[in-house]
Amino acid sequence: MKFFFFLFLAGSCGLLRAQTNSPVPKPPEQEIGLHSDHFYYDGKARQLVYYDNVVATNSQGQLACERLTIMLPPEGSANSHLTNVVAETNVVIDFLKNGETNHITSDKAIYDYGVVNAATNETITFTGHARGENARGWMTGEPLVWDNIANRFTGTDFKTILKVAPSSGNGTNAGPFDLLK
Amino acid sequence: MKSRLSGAEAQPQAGGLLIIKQLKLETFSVNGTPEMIVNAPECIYDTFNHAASSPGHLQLQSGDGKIRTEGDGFLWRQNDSFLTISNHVYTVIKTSVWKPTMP
Repeated sequence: MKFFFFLFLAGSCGLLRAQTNSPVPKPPEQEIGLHSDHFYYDGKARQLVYYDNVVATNSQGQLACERLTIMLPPEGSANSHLTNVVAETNVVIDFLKNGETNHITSDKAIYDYGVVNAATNETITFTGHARGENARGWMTGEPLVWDNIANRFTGTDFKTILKVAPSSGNGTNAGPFDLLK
Repeated sequence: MKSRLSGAEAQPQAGGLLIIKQLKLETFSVNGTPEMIVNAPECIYDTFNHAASSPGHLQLQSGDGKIRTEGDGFLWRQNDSFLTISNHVYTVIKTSVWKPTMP
C-alpha cells in the first residue's frame, strides 16, 4: 500500500529510511493540504496540534479526524525524522490503490518510528473499532497494525476478523491480511 | 535567544501595549537555526505579559519551509512558546512521495 498520510507526514521532516546500503535518489515532492478549525503550537511540548474538523488531502487520498498531533523531533536532534503522529476521534482514511477504493476507520491511529539496535521500526497502529475495507472484503482488529518495514497488516488480537466477499475471486486461499496490501 | 519579535513600526498604547505593524516573529533552536517564522499585518503586543495577539490574518512557516500554516486570529505567548490560531486554519506540508522498498 503506497498511501498512508502518516507516512507522508513522516517523510516531510527528514529521512525516509534510516538504513540503506546505497545512496537513495531524492524522491519527488508533493504537497498535502490540511484544513482544520483550530491549531496550536506548543514549543515546550514540541507539538503541532490541529483540531476540530481536520481534513488532510493529497493526490491519492484523504484523512479525516478531529485531532491531529505531530510530535516534533527533540530540539537539536541530528535526525529530523518524525517519531510520533497521532490522529484521534473518528479517524477515516480513504485512498485509491490500483483503481480500488480503500477505506480505514478507527478511533485512533498512531504512527511510530524508531531505530533500536540498528533496526528500524515503523508502524501505524489503529485502535478502537479499527476496520479496513475495500471491494474484496474487510477486516477488524484491536488493534490493527500496519508494519511499514514488513509492508503488511497484522492483527494482534483474537478479535481480528476477515470476510472475503463472494465476488472477490480470491477464494479460500487468500491470506487474511492480503486485503489492502 | 529563543525568539525574536520585530515589526515595521510600533505605536505605544496605555497599559504597556504596543500596536505593531508588519509583525515578524521568529523562533530558534538551541543551535541558532530558525524553527518557525510568523508574519502578520498587525498585532497588539503586551509588554508586561509578553504576549502578541490579533483577530487578523497570520502566516506561519517552519524554518525549513516544508510546513506553511495560515489562519485568522492568533495569540502568541512568548514565555512558554505557545501559539494558538483560532479560525480557518489551512496548512500545506511539502513532503516526499513515499514509495516503500522491500529489503
